[in-house]
Amino acid sequence: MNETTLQLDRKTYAPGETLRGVVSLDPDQAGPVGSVEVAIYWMTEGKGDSDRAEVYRRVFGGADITDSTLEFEVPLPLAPLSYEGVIIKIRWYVEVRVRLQREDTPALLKFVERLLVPVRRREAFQLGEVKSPKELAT
Amino acid sequence: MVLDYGAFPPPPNKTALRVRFAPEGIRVRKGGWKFGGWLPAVLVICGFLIVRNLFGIFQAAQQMWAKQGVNAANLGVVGRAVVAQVGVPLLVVILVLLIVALRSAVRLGDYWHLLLGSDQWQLRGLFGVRVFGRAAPSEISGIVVAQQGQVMAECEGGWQPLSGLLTPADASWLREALVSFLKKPTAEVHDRLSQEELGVQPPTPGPAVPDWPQGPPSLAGDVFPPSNVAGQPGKILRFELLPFTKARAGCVTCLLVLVGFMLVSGMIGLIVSLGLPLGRASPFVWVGPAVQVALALGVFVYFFRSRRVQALGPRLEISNHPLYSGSIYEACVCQQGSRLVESICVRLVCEETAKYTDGTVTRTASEQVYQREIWRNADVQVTEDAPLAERFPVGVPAGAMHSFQSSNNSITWKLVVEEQAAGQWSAWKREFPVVVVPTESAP
Repeated sequence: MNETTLQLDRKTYAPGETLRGVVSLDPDQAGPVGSVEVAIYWMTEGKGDSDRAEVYRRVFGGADITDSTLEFEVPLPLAPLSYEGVIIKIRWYVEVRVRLQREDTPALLKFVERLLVPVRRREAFQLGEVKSPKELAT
Repeated sequence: MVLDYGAFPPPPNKTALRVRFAPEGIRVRKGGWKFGGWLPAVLVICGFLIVRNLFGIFQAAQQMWAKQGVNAANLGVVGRAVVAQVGVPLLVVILVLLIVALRSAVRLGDYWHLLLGSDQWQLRGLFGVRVFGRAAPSEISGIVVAQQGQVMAECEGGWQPLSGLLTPADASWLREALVSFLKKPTAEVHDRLSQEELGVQPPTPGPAVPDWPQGPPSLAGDVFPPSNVAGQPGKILRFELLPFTKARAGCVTCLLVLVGFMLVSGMIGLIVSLGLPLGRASPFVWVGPAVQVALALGVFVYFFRSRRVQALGPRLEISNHPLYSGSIYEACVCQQGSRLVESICVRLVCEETAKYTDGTVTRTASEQVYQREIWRNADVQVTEDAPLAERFPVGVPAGAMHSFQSSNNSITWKLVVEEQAAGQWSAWKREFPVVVVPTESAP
């Protein structure tokens, strides 16, 4: 069964390095693709309330989508680095959202769909190589 | 140095700093007028007196002129009344404004401007009367944000102030603007330090605070805590670290006001009770106020003693800041005063802090995830003539997590100094936050 996929060239990147990825769109979508959003962000996980910051967002739409694959490359920031702490974890993600374009959809429903676009793919990657507290202690 | 007006970045929004391009150079000044303290009170009182007296004189003059008509005698009376009742408050206002202007002109306070000339940078006070700092751009080897947000330049002859006190955001912008105006890389300006002289391993070259190549600029500030914890130039090493202090000035003020009220009311009670025949006859009448006075005096003595003791606590200086993980720096612990230090140790600590919502309450959880004793000494005799000044290396472990700060989560690095002195019933524990930044790796 075909589905939208997201592939990164690697799983670990050095700070400042360029991340390259490819989004392959599902040819059996329920309708024509209106736009594809690619976002790169970090978020904290763990005991505290989650913090999240987006460092890259690109919307492919209309003329950009000529093929079933979309390529993107992003120079990554220097910080924050991926971290597996005791009560704080910092993780980086690439997220792809696909918006379908259905002609018969009423305007109000289009607006609701725009707000509630399902996350099609989310891939985690590692930025930098930071030792965990356990590794530091040994 | 040729002045390139286009190279100077515009000030950010919502800032108190104003930039003006003049033929003699770029003029950066702090905008706005600050009215605080006793000045507005004096001006309001004098203004009220002037208006009230003018109104009173006008009414009296009207009555007088209605009865007697306008003549030289009653005009003279009105004139004298105006001079005495309006002239005096007006004179007070003028004197107050003159004193404030004079104070601002001779002291580096809220009113200053920095003139960036081609050959010399000058920090001048109000009206440009006094020069507080003077530096040649070619001789500047470093620009830092010092204690309380004062931008300072490291020159061959020592440290020169380049601004008055600023908010952290304004100080940070001014520093970055001056560094970029010098047309030197940030790393060179910030980190140019002869590490060989100190005998320590130089850190891996990199920007003073890493920049964000992508994303909104505000994110950078969200991730790294303010790097001006290395508050002021040190006496032995390059920076003196500022100890962590809890913001409890408001609580202390309230407590002191309360205790002061207790003291005054207790003393009044004591005087009144001793003045009464019943009070002199029975101790039950005056014991209560006496205990109240004794308690209040005790709290005052304890407070001022603890303030004095805090002022005498250990200080910490460091050879460079911020710190790169995997690099070694030199630190120096300093202790003044005459005492026998039974034990003193310095630990490097990494702490994770997370805020989380538990129902309607926000709680904070902290965990020390790394700590290592980096220096210890015992039985050191410190005298007034020979204060303690011990140098030791501080190494941030390679691959260690950098300092991090977001809305609800933070990773903090700090140097903790613990000192136990002879005759001191509790050990001093002082925490000096430091900022650790990641070493830039080659892609």
